[in-house]
Amino acid sequence: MSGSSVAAMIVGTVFIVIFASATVLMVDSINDATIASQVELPDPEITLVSAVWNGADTLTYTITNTGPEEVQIAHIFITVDNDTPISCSGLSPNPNLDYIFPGETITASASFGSSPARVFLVVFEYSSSVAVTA
Amino acid sequence: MGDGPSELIMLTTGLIVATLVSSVLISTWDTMSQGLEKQGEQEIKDAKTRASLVNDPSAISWDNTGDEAFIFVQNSGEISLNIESTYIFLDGNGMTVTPVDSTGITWSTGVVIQFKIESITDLTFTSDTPYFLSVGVSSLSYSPIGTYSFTEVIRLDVS
Repeated sequence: MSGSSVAAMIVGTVFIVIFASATVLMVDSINDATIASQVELPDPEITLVSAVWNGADTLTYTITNTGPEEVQIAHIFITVDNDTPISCSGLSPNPNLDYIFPGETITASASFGSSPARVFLVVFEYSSSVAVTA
Repeated sequence: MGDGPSELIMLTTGLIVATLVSSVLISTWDTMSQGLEKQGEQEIKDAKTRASLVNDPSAISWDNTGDEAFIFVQNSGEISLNIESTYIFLDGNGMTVTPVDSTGITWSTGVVIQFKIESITDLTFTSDTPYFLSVGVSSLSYSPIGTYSFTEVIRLDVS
């Protein structure tokens, strides 16, 4: 084999290595790009079971975690009619819990001056609502 | 093609051409790779940037006299948002957005921020009419900035 053929083989091999490295980098970038579709956002599911008005000044809520993950109670918000939303951590008696776990039910109350009609619960992108019963 | 100098010239020419072509290809490859990487980072950031409406969409109070309302929005994503970069449109009208009772610009996951929205122009809405409320948020961290927006049909309780 002549010297030029050996040189050509060496150069060819170097090119192949360079292209192989570039291809590997490209595949890594493509893999990174596909991670976006695998991002798992919080997916809580809290169901407002009932809202009972005592006819005077107290509204009692019953909520259940019907989802697969624990939820921080401070992240659950309740709106009565068109009133200002309140966090469930501000209900009375205070549940003394930071989290509500799957399957758990909490019953708590809040004062409300006039006869309410509807209660709307929101936690992240999940919502639940019920008509108030007396 | 048998003599040494001619073969050397052919080899040298071939090597020069191959080097030039390889340089162009590698450069193009690198550009594509960087583009894919940036696009991936942007998509991941956008996917982690979320927000949701806390108000009951069936009854949001609107003051026709002051042309204002209070909108509560929760950071329902995985990363902190920038409170000051929030924008809100009501029925296609851009609103002046002012955060209430919040300090700084950091908006952590799960936290609800109350925004006072006001219209610069005089708007007259009516109760029991559906309107579109659009809210846009941006991530706190840069490079890249994650963005998210949502639109909900709401009913106003006009006073």
